[in-house]
Amino acid sequence: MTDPFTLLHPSYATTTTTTTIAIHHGTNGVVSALPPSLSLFSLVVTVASIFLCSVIAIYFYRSYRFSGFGYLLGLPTGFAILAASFVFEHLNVIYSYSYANESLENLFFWIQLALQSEGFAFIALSYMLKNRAGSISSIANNGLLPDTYKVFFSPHNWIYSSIKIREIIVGVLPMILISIPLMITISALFVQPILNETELKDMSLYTTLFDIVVLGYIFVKCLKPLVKAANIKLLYIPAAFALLWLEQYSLIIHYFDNNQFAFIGSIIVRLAGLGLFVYAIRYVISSVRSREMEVER
Amino acid sequence: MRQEKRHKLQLFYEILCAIEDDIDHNKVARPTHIQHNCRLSYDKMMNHFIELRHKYMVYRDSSTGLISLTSKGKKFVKQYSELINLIESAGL
Repeated sequence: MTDPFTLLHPSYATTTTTTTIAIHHGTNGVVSALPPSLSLFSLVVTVASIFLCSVIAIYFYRSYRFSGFGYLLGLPTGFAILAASFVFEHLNVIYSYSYANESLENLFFWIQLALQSEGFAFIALSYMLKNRAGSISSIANNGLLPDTYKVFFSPHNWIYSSIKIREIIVGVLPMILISIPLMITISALFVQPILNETELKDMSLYTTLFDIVVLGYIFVKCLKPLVKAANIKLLYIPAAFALLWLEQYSLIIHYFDNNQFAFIGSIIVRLAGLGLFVYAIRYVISSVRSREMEVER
Repeated sequence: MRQEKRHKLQLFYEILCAIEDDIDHNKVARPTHIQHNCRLSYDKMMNHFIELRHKYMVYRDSSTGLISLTSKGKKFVKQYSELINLIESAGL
């Protein structure tokens, strides 16, 4: 039985290269076409993922346009980039069955990995900058620094330098976050300009690990204010991020174990996560509308 | 206690909500009530109010001086509360 993950991502194939080549070529040595069922499955998953990502991106872009808070732009940008990564994922699947275009297949897989990590990084950026915007505005709006800060920011105080260093690190952190996915993917090109399967496999592990860390950060940052506000009804979005985290975790399991259930699970969990996100948006909007209708009555 | 600086749209939203609230409770909306609810100085409140009037979100009866929301104002309140709830639900 052929591993569905190997079918979708031949670059991940860990069993033998002959298996992958056997899939690529027909029995008579002619380049075989992509199985229609697999093509259809990939297309359905891609279209569904892009649609869900687009809905999320549009709603949060509207929030940004309406509220004018710059830090909100990270979330729609992230989901738009994520949607673009799914396009390249589908292209990778299509080209993985054309032996003549192996370089294109690798290129599309490389772009997909880079975009996916970049997308998650942009989403995390929103949460990172939100906290900073809050802390800066609270200090700026008070006009005067709090007493504790006055002591800390005294040039004679030894704590001053450590706070300054901390501030610099916090300031640089968003730039580091955004550049890490690009650095990982571009560094792979520096090691070997023509990407091979082994290299892409290693790169996929690093980017997946990065995604796990970033999604963990997003989950915690998203959950904290909702728990503080005791708003249990709005826990759908943290749950959606948890499902996206689970998708990456399943991919890690598949990477080490080559478990096909882990791969199928990762697709299901991804669609469930994005679907839950859209449901949360609809739930929030419909709850506002129903409240207004009750007031009107 | 000092209050956090509010965004212009947030101020618009609060003014419009105060008008709605005043109409619900007292049947009429008066500038002083709105000013009190929004915690704004009278001058600032009137500046925002003039801007809202230019945007056709509020209507002031010239003879009685009473204020009411237009359909555009009501639509703004609805959309703003929807989107703010969305941002809050995402923990942002």
